[in-house]
Amino acid sequence: MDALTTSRLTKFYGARPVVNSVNLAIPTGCVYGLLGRNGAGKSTLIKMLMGMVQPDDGHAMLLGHDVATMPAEVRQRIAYIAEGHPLYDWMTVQQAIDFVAPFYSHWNGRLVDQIVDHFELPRRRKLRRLSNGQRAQVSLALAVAPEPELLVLDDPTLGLDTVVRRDFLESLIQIIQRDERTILFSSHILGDVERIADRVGVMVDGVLRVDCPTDHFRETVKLVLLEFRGAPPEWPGSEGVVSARHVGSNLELVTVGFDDQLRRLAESLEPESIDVLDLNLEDAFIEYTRGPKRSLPLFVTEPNDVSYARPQGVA
Amino acid sequence: MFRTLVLKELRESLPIVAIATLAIGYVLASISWGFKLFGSFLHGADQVPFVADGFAYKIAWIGGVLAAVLALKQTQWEEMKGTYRYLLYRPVDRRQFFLLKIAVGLSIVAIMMAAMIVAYGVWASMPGRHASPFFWSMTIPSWQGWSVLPVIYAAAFLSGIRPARWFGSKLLPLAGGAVAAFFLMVQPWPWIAWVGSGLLTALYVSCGIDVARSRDY
Repeated sequence: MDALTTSRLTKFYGARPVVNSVNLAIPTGCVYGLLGRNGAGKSTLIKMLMGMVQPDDGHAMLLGHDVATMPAEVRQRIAYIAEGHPLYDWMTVQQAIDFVAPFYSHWNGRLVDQIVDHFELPRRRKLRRLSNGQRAQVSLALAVAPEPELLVLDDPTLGLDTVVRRDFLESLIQIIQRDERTILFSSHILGDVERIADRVGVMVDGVLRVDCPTDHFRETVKLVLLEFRGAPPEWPGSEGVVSARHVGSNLELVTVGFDDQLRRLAESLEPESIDVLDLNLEDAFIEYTRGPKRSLPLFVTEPNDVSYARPQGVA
Repeated sequence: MFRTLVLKELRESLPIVAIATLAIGYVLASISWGFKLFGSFLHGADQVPFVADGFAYKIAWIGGVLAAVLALKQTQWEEMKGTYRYLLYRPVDRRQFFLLKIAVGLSIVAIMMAAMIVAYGVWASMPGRHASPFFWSMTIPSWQGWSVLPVIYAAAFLSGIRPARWFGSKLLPLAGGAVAAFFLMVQPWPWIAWVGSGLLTALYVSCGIDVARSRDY
């Protein structure tokens, strides 16, 4: 069963679609990393999933319930950490815990205590006096205490230093391992996504252009270097090529896969050599998203599930 | 759950309540004992309590400012701090949450300003305080001024919660509410003020709740 599905989810700001007909399905137990450059529509998509922003078209289902009509009992099973970790600054850490706890029927006070103790959070200190890292840790404690089945995090490590970020993620991994929890999180930090996400989605200009297992994305996006003796020729254009650019006497292609057809086309330009380079997730993401706005869609479905392979960005 | 929300609203209203308490205390001191610090608007110790001292206008001014500032604080503060995103996904119906916010705000305004009228009435009812007779019925114009305060509060709440392109248009409901409250207060029939205030407040509150439920955060 899918913990989260969206169908043609669309949001316009003015005439511009910031989220454009996104169809997404995240199976239960999956850790899904949502990637995209600034302004790609990640936060708006997450806000629509959490009911903070009303979609102009389409709908979203969380744990089998429509977001627009979701009863409070279902929302007890969903946690959300908003971007920037908004909290009531005048509260102390303990007051923040006491404030949130009464909203939930299943509040795991012991888990909160464990997290607070683990991070050595000062319970009597005002939240305004905490560092960004400590605020993130408080947010995490408050989010996981109701033992949610679905955890949605909007760029939770934004603004955290490397050590705190690593601590935060390791705690998150431990929490994931406790139960079969579904997690959707957006991030700019590809290393974080690589470390914990089973599956990635990449949004480009409001459109979900990639939705596939993390390894598949990394293995599929290739950098192809065609070396020429003089000035390289123009790339004739073909399916499977995200971008083509001249770098000195090289023609650099970013491709989704590099099959025989592309190889034959490359060879027809008579380069001195053809090098096909694997990319790590960060390089793959950068190459995929920085080029001209014509990145190729990359959707991979599980053999027994066709729900992913739905049209995107047709609003 | 509701207790924790009420306590939060009360705690966040505390600075405004403190300032309003000081203002009320000063006005009461100035009209009761002649304590003077500012201009003549606030004074009236040598006049007939509730009848010829402009007390109803003082109630409307202080209460109106308190109502408007409190409602705008309750709505805009959360907006500016981004805490709507912390609060609104909690398992509480959004309508209930905003109704509770409004109930706390209205209660603060109503109780504080009622206390001001009652305190002044008690002072005026004591023998030897002033050279004129006193009947509690003389307080009716002040209660008429008090009764229009919910209109200003609800209008300011709608102004604060509704998205707008610029501040001027955002404040249009508040401007409309203030004008309506003024006319309800100056017209001679108290019952019209009470009924009109009730209807307008209900209208503004229902609009505010509708906007709060459907807007983006």
